[in-house]
Amino acid sequence: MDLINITLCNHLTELVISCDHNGIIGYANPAAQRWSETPLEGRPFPALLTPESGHKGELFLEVARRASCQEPTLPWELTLGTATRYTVANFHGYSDNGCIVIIGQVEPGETTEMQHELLQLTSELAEAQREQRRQNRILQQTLHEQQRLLKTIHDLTAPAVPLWEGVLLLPLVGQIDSHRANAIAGELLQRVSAGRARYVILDVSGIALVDTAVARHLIDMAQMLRLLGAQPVLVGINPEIAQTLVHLGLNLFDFITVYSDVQHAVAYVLRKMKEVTL
Amino acid sequence: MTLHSVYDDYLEALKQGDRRQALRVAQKTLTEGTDIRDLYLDVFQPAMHEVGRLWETNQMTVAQEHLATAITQSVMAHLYGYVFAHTAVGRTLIATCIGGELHELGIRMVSDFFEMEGWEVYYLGANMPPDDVIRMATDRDADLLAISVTLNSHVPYARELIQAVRAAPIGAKLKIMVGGQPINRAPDLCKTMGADFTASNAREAVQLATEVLV
Repeated sequence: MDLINITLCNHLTELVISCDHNGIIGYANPAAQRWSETPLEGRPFPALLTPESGHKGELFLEVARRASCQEPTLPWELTLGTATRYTVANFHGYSDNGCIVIIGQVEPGETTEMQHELLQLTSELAEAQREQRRQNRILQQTLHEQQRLLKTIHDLTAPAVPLWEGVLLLPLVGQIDSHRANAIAGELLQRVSAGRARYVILDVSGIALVDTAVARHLIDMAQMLRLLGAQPVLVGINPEIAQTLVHLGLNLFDFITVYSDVQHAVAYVLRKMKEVTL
Repeated sequence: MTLHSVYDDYLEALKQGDRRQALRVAQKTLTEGTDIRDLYLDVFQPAMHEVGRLWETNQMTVAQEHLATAITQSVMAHLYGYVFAHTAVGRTLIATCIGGELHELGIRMVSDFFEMEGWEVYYLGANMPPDDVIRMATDRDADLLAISVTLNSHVPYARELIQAVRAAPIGAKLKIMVGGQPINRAPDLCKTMGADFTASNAREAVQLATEVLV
């Protein structure tokens, strides 16, 4: 290349490279050399590119070898830089006197940057969805666990213990609301009629809070038991329950037998059963 | 059922950059009874290889290739809703890839396959520093580390990562799997890199991992 051309090339922002017929670089202007740490002269053209573009660079050389100055190749995108951080450049090439002349224009840095960012964004979104799926699975699992617990609790609603034939013990624990009271009553009546129970010991010492509503439920339950021919025996009445029941103004003792604890209640039931058999 | 025509339609949608069409094609195939794994291996994977080839022969731009990658990634995420989640198997996979985001689709497919089989999967993104990989593997008490390598020039990075992981306490129990084109071409690389095993595709990866981790 003559002097004036070389001076011109030194000042161009475009990459200018000239290769021999085999694609070995004979000249690279400073704009091209900037992309390589080692001198480009004497190395094959793909050495300028990132490894991704290696094979594409070979294909491009082949096309450029057949192109003429009047009709250079179409623009070819090749990547420069490092394997992990590349920049896209558009290259034209043509053959001239056994030389392959290659001119490249680097895409504005922002464009490449933007594409990287967009791709990263897609990637992050896809991962966020994976995280979402993970959370959903955990929720599902928790829900499943909870349903199992609820079922257990439901099964324990009316834990009627058959003490012996015809005698049931029902220890009531926890909060009683009307919903639960109904469930207990339903379950209990089933058991009583199925087991032909004649005595039901209702232990209310484990009930958390007794208000008039709960007291009414208890009385209802006792009355229903009577209708089925079973004798309710109430035990474990604490001072609050006593007050509440009295405030209701009902004469309980017509249909309920009351004892302070389970032992006394059992003794009573045993006595009664003996009387009946006698 | 042959997936050739699905592949053609899907590739065409990628070339057009039409993500709605791409999703329609994939959804239709799935609702017609195709297993999502077949869709991954016989449609998405070859279509993305073809996109790479089109770029290499100057028939597609980098921007179009990026778009095709993004489309396939979003389609994969959409389809996941159709997957019947396997019950948890109590295994954890940490996955990472050496190279740019443009190359992470393969390891993403692998990650999805493991997730479908009931594994806990954490994908760390591309080019994670070894310390971060070790921290994550330790925090999650991972069973398997999957490293995707897309180019020969990435092999040294992967080897360094494996060495660092092996030197860490978690390295004693953690199995390491490598995959990607360079290793598919030269399977011996797997051993010289210091990995436990390699697989040529996502399905095989799950199979081998299950055998290795008995």
